[in-house]
Amino acid sequence: MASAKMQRAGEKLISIARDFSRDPGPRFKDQGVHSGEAFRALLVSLLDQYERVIVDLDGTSGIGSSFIDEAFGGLIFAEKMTLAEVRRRVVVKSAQDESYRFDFEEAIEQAELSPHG
Amino acid sequence: MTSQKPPQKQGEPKNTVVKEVPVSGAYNVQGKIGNQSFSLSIEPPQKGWFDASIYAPTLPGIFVALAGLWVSHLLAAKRDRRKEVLDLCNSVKELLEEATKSAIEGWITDDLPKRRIAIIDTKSKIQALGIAVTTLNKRSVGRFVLIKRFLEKRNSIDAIKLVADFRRTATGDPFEVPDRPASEGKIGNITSRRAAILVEIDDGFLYLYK
Repeated sequence: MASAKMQRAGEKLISIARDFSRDPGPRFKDQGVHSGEAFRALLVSLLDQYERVIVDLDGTSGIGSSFIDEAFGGLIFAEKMTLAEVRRRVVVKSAQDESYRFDFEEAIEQAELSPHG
Repeated sequence: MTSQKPPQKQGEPKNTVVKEVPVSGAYNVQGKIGNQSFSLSIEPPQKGWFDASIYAPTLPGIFVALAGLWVSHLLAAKRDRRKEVLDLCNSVKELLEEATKSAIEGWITDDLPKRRIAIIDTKSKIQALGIAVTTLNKRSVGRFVLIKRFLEKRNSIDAIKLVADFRRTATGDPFEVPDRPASEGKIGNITSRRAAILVEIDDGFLYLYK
C-alpha cells in the first residue's frame, strides 16, 4: 500500500462474483485459481484509490473460510493495516447469506491477534 | 268536523303516526256564505334507503361479526406463519445434513478428483445453508409473541453465527490445500458444530411457536 496519504475518491462497491470470480478458490495463489491472495491484491489496489471499499459477497458458488481469512485478514497481517482501519475502510455485505459477515469479523480479529493468519 | 285518512296503498306498511292538522275557512258559494272546517292528515315521511333508524339496530351485530372475522384472520395468519417457519426449519436441517456429508467427504477422501468436487460442493452447500438460515431468521420473528419480544432476548430463530462457525470448521485450513493427506481429525468438530445448529433450530422453534 502507498505509504503517503493520497487524495482518495469516496467509496467503491465491488462484487466478488462480478469483478473477481463466481468461484472463489483456496487461500494462496499456488494452491489454485481465484485465490484469496489474488483477491486481496485487487482489494489493495482499490483501497489505494478509494477511501472505502464495499465488497458484495453475493452471487458466488460458495466461499471458503480460508479465502476470507487471506483476503481480509491478510489486510492486517500482510498489508499491515490496523483493525480499526480495516473496519473503517472495508465493508463486507451479503444480503443473502449473513453468516459471511461473521466470517469477515472473525478473520480480521484473528489476524489482529496472531502475526499470521 | 270530518276527517278522512288517505286510502292505504297495497304493500305499504301501516303508518302508525298520522298528524292531523285542523283547518277552517269561510266559503261563498252562489251568495251563500258559511264556515267549513276540515282537517289535514299528514302522513309521516316514508322511510328511505338512507334512513339511519332502519340500520341502527343492526350495528352491534355488524361490529361483533367484524371483530370475529378479525380474530379468525389473526389466528389463521399465526397458523400459516408457524407452518412456514416449520418448513424453513426442515429445509435448514436437510441442507445441514448435505453440507456435513460433503464436508466429511472432502476431508477423508484420498481420491483427488473426488476431493476437488467435494470441496466445491461443501462451499456451495454451506452457502445454501447460510442463505436458508438468513431467511429463517427473518421469517421467524415472533410477531404475536409480544411479551417475549420486548422482555426477553430471543425473538427469532438465529443460527447465522453458528453457520459461520460451521463454515470455519468445515472449510478452514488445510481443507483446500491440494496435496494434503486425508484426515479424520475434523469430523468430531464438524459434527459438534452441526449439533449446535440443530439445537438452536429446535429450541428456537419450540420457544417461539410451541
